[in-house]
Amino acid sequence: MRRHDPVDIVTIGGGMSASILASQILPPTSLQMVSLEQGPAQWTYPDFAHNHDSLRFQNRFAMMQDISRTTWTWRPDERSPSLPYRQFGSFHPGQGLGGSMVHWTALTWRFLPDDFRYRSLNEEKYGRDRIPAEMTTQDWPIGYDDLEPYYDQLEYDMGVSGRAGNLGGQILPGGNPFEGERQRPYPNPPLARSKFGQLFEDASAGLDLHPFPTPAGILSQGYTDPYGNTRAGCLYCGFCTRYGCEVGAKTSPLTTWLPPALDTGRYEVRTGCRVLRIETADDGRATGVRYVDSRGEEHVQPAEVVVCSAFTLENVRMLLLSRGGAHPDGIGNDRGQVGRNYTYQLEQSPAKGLWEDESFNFFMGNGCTNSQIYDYNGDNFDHSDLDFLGGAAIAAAAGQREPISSSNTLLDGFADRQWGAEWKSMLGRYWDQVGTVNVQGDSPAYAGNFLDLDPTYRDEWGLPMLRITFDWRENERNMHRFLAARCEEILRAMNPDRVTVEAELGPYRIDQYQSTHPTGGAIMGRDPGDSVTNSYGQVWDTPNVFVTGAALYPQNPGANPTGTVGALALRTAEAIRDRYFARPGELL
Amino acid sequence: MVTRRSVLKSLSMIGGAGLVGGATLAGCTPDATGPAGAAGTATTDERVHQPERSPLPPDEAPDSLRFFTEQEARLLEAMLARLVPGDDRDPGAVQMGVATYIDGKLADHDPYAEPTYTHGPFASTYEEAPSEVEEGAVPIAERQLYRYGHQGRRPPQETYRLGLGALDRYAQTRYGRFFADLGPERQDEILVVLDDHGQRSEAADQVTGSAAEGSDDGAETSTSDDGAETSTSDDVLDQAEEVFGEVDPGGFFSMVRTDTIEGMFADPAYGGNKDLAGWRLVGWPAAQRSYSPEEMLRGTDKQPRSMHGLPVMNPDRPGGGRGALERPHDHVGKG
Repeated sequence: MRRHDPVDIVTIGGGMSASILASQILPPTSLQMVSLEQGPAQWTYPDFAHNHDSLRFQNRFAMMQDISRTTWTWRPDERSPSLPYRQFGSFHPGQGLGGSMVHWTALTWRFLPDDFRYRSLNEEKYGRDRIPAEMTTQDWPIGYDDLEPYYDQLEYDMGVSGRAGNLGGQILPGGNPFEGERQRPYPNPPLARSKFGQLFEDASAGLDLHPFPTPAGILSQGYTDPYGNTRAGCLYCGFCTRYGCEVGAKTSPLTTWLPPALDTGRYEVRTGCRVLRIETADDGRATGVRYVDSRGEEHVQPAEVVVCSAFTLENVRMLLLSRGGAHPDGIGNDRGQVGRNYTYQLEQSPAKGLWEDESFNFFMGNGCTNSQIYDYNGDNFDHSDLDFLGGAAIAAAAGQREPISSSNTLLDGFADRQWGAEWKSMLGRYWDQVGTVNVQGDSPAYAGNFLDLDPTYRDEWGLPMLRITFDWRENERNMHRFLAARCEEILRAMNPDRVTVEAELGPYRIDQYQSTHPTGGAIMGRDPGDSVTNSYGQVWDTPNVFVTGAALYPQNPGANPTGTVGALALRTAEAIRDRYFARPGELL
Repeated sequence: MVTRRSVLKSLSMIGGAGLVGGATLAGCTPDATGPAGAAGTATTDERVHQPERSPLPPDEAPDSLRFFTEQEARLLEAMLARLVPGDDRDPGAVQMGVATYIDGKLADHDPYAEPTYTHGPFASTYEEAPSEVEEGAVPIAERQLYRYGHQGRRPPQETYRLGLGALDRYAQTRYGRFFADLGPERQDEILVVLDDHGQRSEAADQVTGSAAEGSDDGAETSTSDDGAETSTSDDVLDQAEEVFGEVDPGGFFSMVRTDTIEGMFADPAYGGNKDLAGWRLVGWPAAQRSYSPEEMLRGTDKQPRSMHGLPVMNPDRPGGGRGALERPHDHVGKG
């Protein structure tokens, strides 16, 4: 066992949050920080210079966590047994320097002001009895206005491409009229629009809806960020999600926050290192972390502050694994709050069309070269006479279609059999002529959906895996049925020759990719009685441990989580830098 | 001899070398025991390595069988010829070299080509009561199993070997001949049974699920009904299951179909997609560096190109962390 000299901050994980903390905290101070990253080092150049290998990146998951060594288990409910997530399906946590943000799709949202008041808003507007007894959604401890300055900084750090919809209270044409008030426009104009996105935009505008270009963490043009990184605009090559960007147009820690952090000389990332637990002293304070390196040697890295900055699921697991004298059930869990309010994302393609004589170039572009509507998201529409709460963004299918990952299901609903002469001839004819209208909906929290340690399955290091207990509820099934009808209306206005609609939301299944948006499990709140951390991600019962990322979300709104992960990390970084070290160990 | 391909191969692995013991990137060390800033001293051999998973494609596309026997390959090709029929003018899975692709996948990976958790305990299904399953297995209701994704304990190599054998036994049982010797219609009838068998668990769950939920609210206009029912009777499915014995007929079919799609559309370096025929079939230009906004709206003249035809990126491009990569750092916490 090797014991290192103490540092000020150690992070578990070397991804987005860790690099944001390092870039904000280190340059103006003399603090030292170490990050422990389970995956390898990787950089835009040369690692992504030659990566257009569909098989390797789409089907063999080259950028994802190595789940042959440790994975997660799942069961639909408390009565059913759990089984390991043996192969990638529902979600794709990444590994390697920069984390999942290297292979992400790059949709960069601000959550809606209403999203932060999910419970009180619905109670006030529709009555307490509209919230099902099992639903444990709660308000965030902060509101949109608290986060706005950090959303603003994040967008300029990343060079987000988009069109403002609400600038200083003024609603602008072509943007998202439902967004919260912003102080500045996006730093870059929207990405180039796809042909299918254009068709969706025209059709939905014709239905008096409000389409706008997807806000993207992908540069639409050359950009020099506030740190002095100069980056190229997107080349629309069509190899984006599940790949590292070869030109650095897709924002990641590698393009943005790692260079200024490493420039200080006081930031070190140790790759190939896996943290086993957070060490604590008799008084309950964290003293550092214990980890193994790629050769299996054990290390202890003492630190004043420990940050769980890995993927949602691993952050929750790390808290639960860190059981000690003062925290017999794990850090943050003195009041049994860890694992509660695990949520996900309702991501489906309910309506699909086929055009006999129109092809769309779906293989170009990326996951953001489309348009969206927010008319049916959150509480942007009246729920008085509806049988559900919440909603979803509705979007046209974007770009980056590859035959190896699309052909399996593309013709479901159009061809009788997904093989044979008819299937082959249809695939050849229509591969670029089938498009979907998709929903990305919210996921409310329920008492029966939660995370805990699996009693049976252990990883390569003998530690219990995290067990996910999750399934959809009536609210989501009703919401899906409503949204599917809206998707169908828009799709039909796009004049396809054939239409197929999947109105019913089936049971949750972990084998089908939906989104890498597992959220909650170590939620933030106003009070130690209903949450694990305060609004800074600072753990109530162990104030020198912080949690970053989407595990903090009390429930998940109908939007990709990354923008808010970044805004929260900027806010936490500022608080640690400016206030924590003046009074270490005290609650912010 | 240094081929262009091997240069590209080494290029794309530099920097991924952090997992190799001792290789150290500035600012990023695999652990604190290696010398700081050793990136400059790492030998080429240390930089060019096979990662633990998703290795790069072989240097030369394979052209001889390494896993299947000749007889197995003939049977597999008979199946492929029905999954994706073709001829010399309009290539199908056989003409595209899909059998070679699958052979290489099974020969080069032990046992899985993608990251897969392979440790027990494993699931065992029951129809009525959990007590039906053997001790030590995890009891799962048969109609729920599909929701858990891949749960088999059998390596794909065995599934192929046993599955192909079972396919011939089933052809014998149904029609008294080997599968490859049957006419296309008979072959299709057999494959339909296997396909339907694979969808039985899901279909049963959906029927049960919707019955339990009560009435729909009238949105029946154009609801898709795929997967909710199968055309094959339970008796026929049960018979297939019995003849296949220890291999799951639906699971075997689904594995072959998935691998067929991979073999049609993976880069030809992996042995399939011969002459880029898979990409030509669907009209995908494949490995391109860029499209213009104009091309996104109007289409492109770019023709299918394999990834080894891609021009190399400019190695001197600034940004993206390269500066930090080359700059020496004072490392902290080295103890």
